[in-house]
Amino acid sequence: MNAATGVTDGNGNISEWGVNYSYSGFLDRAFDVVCAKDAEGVISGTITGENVTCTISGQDYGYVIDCV
Amino acid sequence: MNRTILITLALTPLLALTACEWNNNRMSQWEKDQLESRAANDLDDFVAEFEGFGNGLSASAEAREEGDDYEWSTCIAGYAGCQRCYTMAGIVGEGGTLSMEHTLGDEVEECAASVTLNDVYYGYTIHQWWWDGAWAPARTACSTSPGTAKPAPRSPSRGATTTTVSTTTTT
Repeated sequence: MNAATGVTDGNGNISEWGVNYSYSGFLDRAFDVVCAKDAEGVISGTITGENVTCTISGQDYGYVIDCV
Repeated sequence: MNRTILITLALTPLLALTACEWNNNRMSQWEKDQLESRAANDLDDFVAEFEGFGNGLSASAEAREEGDDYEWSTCIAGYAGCQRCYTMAGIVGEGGTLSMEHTLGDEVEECAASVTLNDVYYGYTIHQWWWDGAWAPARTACSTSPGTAKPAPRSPSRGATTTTVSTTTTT
Protein backbone atom coordinates (compact mmCIF):
# COMPACT_ATOMS: atom_id res chain seq x y z
CA MET A 1 0.00 0.00 0.00
CA ASN A 2 1.30 3.37 -0.94
CA ALA A 3 0.72 5.71 1.92
CA ALA A 4 1.20 9.34 2.71
CA THR A 5 0.77 11.34 5.88
CA GLY A 6 0.95 15.04 6.52
CA VAL A 7 0.68 17.65 9.22
CA THR A 8 -0.39 21.24 8.71
CA ASP A 9 0.49 24.10 11.03
CA GLY A 10 -2.88 25.79 10.74
CA ASN A 11 -1.60 28.53 8.46
CA GLY A 12 -1.65 26.65 5.22
CA ASN A 13 1.84 25.34 5.62
CA ILE A 14 2.83 21.72 5.57
CA SER A 15 4.99 21.32 8.60
CA GLU A 16 5.63 17.60 8.32
CA TRP A 17 5.04 14.92 5.77
CA GLY A 18 5.91 11.34 5.13
CA VAL A 19 5.57 8.98 2.23
CA ASN A 20 6.01 5.29 1.78
CA TYR A 21 5.53 3.74 -1.63
CA SER A 22 6.95 1.25 -4.06
CA TYR A 23 7.96 1.14 -7.65
CA SER A 24 7.16 -2.10 -9.36
CA GLY A 25 8.78 -2.78 -12.67
CA PHE A 26 10.71 0.43 -12.99
CA LEU A 27 14.02 -0.54 -14.58
CA ASP A 28 12.63 -4.08 -14.36
CA ARG A 29 13.12 -4.03 -10.64
CA ALA A 30 11.24 -3.18 -7.50
CA PHE A 31 12.09 -0.32 -5.19
CA ASP A 32 10.70 0.82 -1.89
CA VAL A 33 10.77 4.51 -1.07
CA VAL A 34 10.44 5.84 2.44
CA CYS A 35 10.91 9.54 2.97
CA ALA A 36 9.80 12.14 5.47
CA LYS A 37 10.23 15.75 6.46
CA ASP A 38 10.14 16.50 10.17
CA ALA A 39 8.96 19.63 11.93
CA GLU A 40 12.41 21.18 11.61
CA GLY A 41 12.34 20.73 7.87
CA VAL A 42 14.86 17.93 7.80
CA ILE A 43 14.21 15.55 4.93
CA SER A 44 15.52 12.03 5.22
CA GLY A 45 14.73 8.77 3.58
CA THR A 46 15.89 5.73 1.71
CA ILE A 47 15.24 3.92 -1.51
CA THR A 48 15.95 0.24 -1.32
CA GLY A 49 15.81 -2.36 -4.00
CA GLU A 50 17.67 -5.16 -5.64
CA ASN A 51 21.37 -4.42 -5.45
CA VAL A 52 20.92 -0.77 -4.71
CA THR A 53 20.48 1.48 -1.72
CA CYS A 54 19.88 5.19 -2.01
CA THR A 55 19.81 7.84 0.65
CA ILE A 56 17.62 10.91 0.56
CA SER A 57 18.77 13.88 2.57
CA GLY A 58 17.97 17.53 2.58
CA GLN A 59 16.30 20.48 4.19
CA ASP A 60 12.89 22.05 3.52
CA TYR A 61 12.47 21.90 -0.26
CA GLY A 62 15.97 20.93 -1.22
CA TYR A 63 17.23 17.40 -1.10
CA VAL A 64 19.71 15.07 -2.69
CA ILE A 65 19.22 11.46 -3.69
CA ASP A 66 22.36 9.42 -3.83
CA CYS A 67 22.36 5.81 -4.98
CA VAL A 68 25.29 3.46 -4.39
CA MET B 1 52.74 -13.96 -31.45
CA ASN B 2 53.63 -16.27 -28.63
CA ARG B 3 51.40 -18.86 -26.97
CA THR B 4 50.67 -16.74 -23.86
CA ILE B 5 49.36 -13.86 -25.92
CA LEU B 6 47.27 -16.22 -28.05
CA ILE B 7 45.69 -17.84 -25.00
CA THR B 8 45.00 -14.45 -23.47
CA LEU B 9 43.36 -13.18 -26.63
CA ALA B 10 41.32 -16.37 -26.94
CA LEU B 11 40.01 -16.07 -23.39
CA THR B 12 39.25 -12.35 -23.50
CA PRO B 13 35.71 -12.67 -24.91
CA LEU B 14 34.89 -15.35 -22.35
CA LEU B 15 36.22 -13.19 -19.53
CA ALA B 16 34.25 -10.24 -20.78
CA LEU B 17 31.09 -12.32 -21.06
CA THR B 18 31.57 -13.69 -17.59
CA ALA B 19 32.06 -10.20 -16.24
CA CYS B 20 28.89 -9.03 -17.94
CA GLU B 21 26.88 -11.90 -16.54
CA TRP B 22 28.28 -11.32 -13.09
CA ASN B 23 27.31 -7.69 -13.27
CA ASN B 24 23.90 -8.39 -14.74
CA ASN B 25 22.04 -7.87 -11.48
CA ARG B 26 24.02 -4.85 -10.46
CA MET B 27 22.67 -1.48 -11.37
CA SER B 28 24.64 0.49 -13.83
CA GLN B 29 25.42 4.12 -13.22
CA TRP B 30 22.86 5.00 -15.87
CA GLU B 31 20.19 3.02 -14.02
CA LYS B 32 21.13 4.68 -10.76
CA ASP B 33 20.86 8.05 -12.44
CA GLN B 34 17.42 7.10 -13.75
CA LEU B 35 16.28 6.00 -10.32
CA GLU B 36 17.59 9.16 -8.68
CA SER B 37 15.95 11.32 -11.31
CA ARG B 38 12.60 9.62 -11.15
CA ALA B 39 12.52 9.54 -7.36
CA ALA B 40 13.38 13.24 -7.26
CA ASN B 41 10.61 14.05 -9.73
CA ASP B 42 8.11 12.00 -7.76
CA LEU B 43 9.07 13.62 -4.49
CA ASP B 44 8.80 17.06 -6.06
CA ASP B 45 5.30 16.20 -7.28
CA PHE B 46 4.46 14.76 -3.94
CA VAL B 47 5.53 17.87 -2.04
CA ALA B 48 3.60 20.04 -4.50
CA GLU B 49 0.52 17.94 -3.86
CA PHE B 50 0.84 18.39 -0.15
CA GLU B 51 1.41 22.10 -0.48
CA GLY B 52 -1.72 22.29 -2.61
CA PHE B 53 -3.76 20.73 0.12
CA GLY B 54 -2.34 22.97 2.82
CA ASN B 55 -4.62 25.98 2.57
CA GLY B 56 -7.75 23.95 2.18
CA LEU B 57 -6.94 21.77 5.12
CA SER B 58 -6.25 24.78 7.27
CA ALA B 59 -9.48 26.43 6.18
CA SER B 60 -11.46 23.35 7.06
CA ALA B 61 -9.82 23.20 10.44
CA GLU B 62 -10.96 26.68 11.40
CA ALA B 63 -14.12 27.06 13.45
CA ARG B 64 -16.25 24.21 12.34
CA GLU B 65 -19.90 24.56 13.10
CA GLU B 66 -22.63 22.11 12.30
CA GLY B 67 -24.13 22.89 8.92
CA ASP B 68 -21.12 24.82 7.70
CA ASP B 69 -20.17 24.27 4.09
CA TYR B 70 -16.62 24.06 2.94
CA GLU B 71 -15.28 24.23 -0.53
CA TRP B 72 -12.02 25.21 -2.05
CA SER B 73 -10.25 24.68 -5.30
CA THR B 74 -6.67 24.75 -6.30
CA CYS B 75 -4.61 23.93 -9.35
CA ILE B 76 -1.07 22.66 -9.37
CA ALA B 77 1.29 22.40 -12.28
CA GLY B 78 1.98 18.73 -12.51
CA TYR B 79 4.12 16.26 -14.30
CA ALA B 80 4.98 16.77 -17.96
CA GLY B 81 3.02 19.99 -18.18
CA CYS B 82 -0.20 18.49 -16.91
CA GLN B 83 -2.09 20.73 -14.56
CA ARG B 84 -4.01 19.17 -11.76
CA CYS B 85 -7.01 20.92 -10.31
CA TYR B 86 -8.88 19.92 -7.21
CA THR B 87 -12.15 20.81 -5.72
CA MET B 88 -12.95 19.73 -2.22
CA ALA B 89 -16.40 20.37 -0.92
CA GLY B 90 -18.19 19.25 2.19
CA ILE B 91 -20.43 20.00 5.07
CA VAL B 92 -20.09 19.68 8.81
CA GLY B 93 -22.62 17.28 10.16
CA GLU B 94 -23.83 16.25 13.55
CA GLY B 95 -21.07 15.77 16.07
CA GLY B 96 -18.65 17.84 14.04
CA THR B 97 -18.15 15.23 11.37
CA LEU B 98 -16.82 16.81 8.22
CA SER B 99 -17.70 14.86 5.09
CA MET B 100 -16.04 16.00 1.94
CA GLU B 101 -15.81 15.13 -1.68
CA HIS B 102 -12.42 15.39 -3.27
CA THR B 103 -12.64 15.86 -7.00
CA LEU B 104 -9.70 15.71 -9.34
CA GLY B 105 -10.33 17.90 -12.32
CA ASP B 106 -7.45 16.97 -14.53
CA GLU B 107 -7.90 17.66 -18.21
CA VAL B 108 -6.02 15.40 -20.56
CA GLU B 109 -6.11 18.07 -23.27
CA GLU B 110 -3.48 19.99 -21.36
CA CYS B 111 -0.97 17.24 -22.03
CA ALA B 112 0.38 15.55 -25.10
CA ALA B 113 -1.97 13.22 -26.96
CA SER B 114 -0.41 10.09 -25.55
CA VAL B 115 -0.65 11.26 -21.98
CA THR B 116 -2.84 9.51 -19.51
CA LEU B 117 -3.79 11.24 -16.34
CA ASN B 118 -1.64 11.86 -13.36
CA ASP B 119 -1.80 10.51 -9.86
CA VAL B 120 -5.08 9.46 -8.36
CA TYR B 121 -5.40 9.99 -4.70
CA TYR B 122 -7.98 8.00 -2.87
CA GLY B 123 -9.17 7.12 0.57
CA TYR B 124 -8.03 10.21 2.38
CA THR B 125 -9.10 10.83 5.88
CA ILE B 126 -8.82 14.43 6.87
CA HIS B 127 -8.40 15.20 10.51
CA GLN B 128 -8.22 18.62 12.07
CA TRP B 129 -4.55 19.17 11.52
CA TRP B 130 -3.41 16.17 9.67
CA TRP B 131 -4.54 13.61 7.21
CA ASP B 132 -3.53 10.23 6.00
CA GLY B 133 -4.45 7.98 3.19
CA ALA B 134 -3.32 6.03 0.25
CA TRP B 135 -1.31 7.50 -2.53
CA ALA B 136 -0.91 6.09 -5.99
CA PRO B 137 2.35 7.47 -7.35
CA ALA B 138 1.76 7.95 -11.01
CA ARG B 139 4.24 7.55 -13.74
CA THR B 140 2.18 7.19 -16.82
CA ALA B 141 2.58 7.80 -20.50
CA CYS B 142 3.52 11.34 -19.46
CA SER B 143 6.99 9.98 -18.82
CA THR B 144 9.74 11.26 -21.03
CA SER B 145 12.37 8.95 -19.63
CA PRO B 146 14.12 7.06 -22.41
CA GLY B 147 12.25 3.81 -22.46
CA THR B 148 12.49 3.00 -18.80
CA ALA B 149 9.41 4.17 -17.00
CA LYS B 150 6.50 1.83 -16.68
CA PRO B 151 3.16 2.71 -15.15
CA ALA B 152 3.13 2.26 -11.42
CA PRO B 153 0.26 0.41 -9.76
CA ARG B 154 -2.63 2.80 -9.47
CA SER B 155 -6.29 3.15 -8.94
CA PRO B 156 -8.34 1.90 -11.86
CA SER B 157 -10.08 5.25 -11.94
CA ARG B 158 -9.12 7.68 -14.63
CA GLY B 159 -10.18 11.16 -15.47
CA ALA B 160 -12.19 13.21 -13.03
CA THR B 161 -12.20 11.22 -9.86
CA THR B 162 -14.29 11.78 -6.82
CA THR B 163 -13.21 10.55 -3.45
CA THR B 164 -15.24 10.89 -0.33
CA VAL B 165 -13.37 11.68 2.82
CA SER B 166 -14.64 12.29 6.28
CA THR B 167 -13.40 13.18 9.69
CA THR B 168 -14.64 13.86 13.15
CA THR B 169 -13.49 17.05 14.79
CA THR B 170 -13.43 18.09 18.38
CA THR B 171 -14.72 21.61 17.92
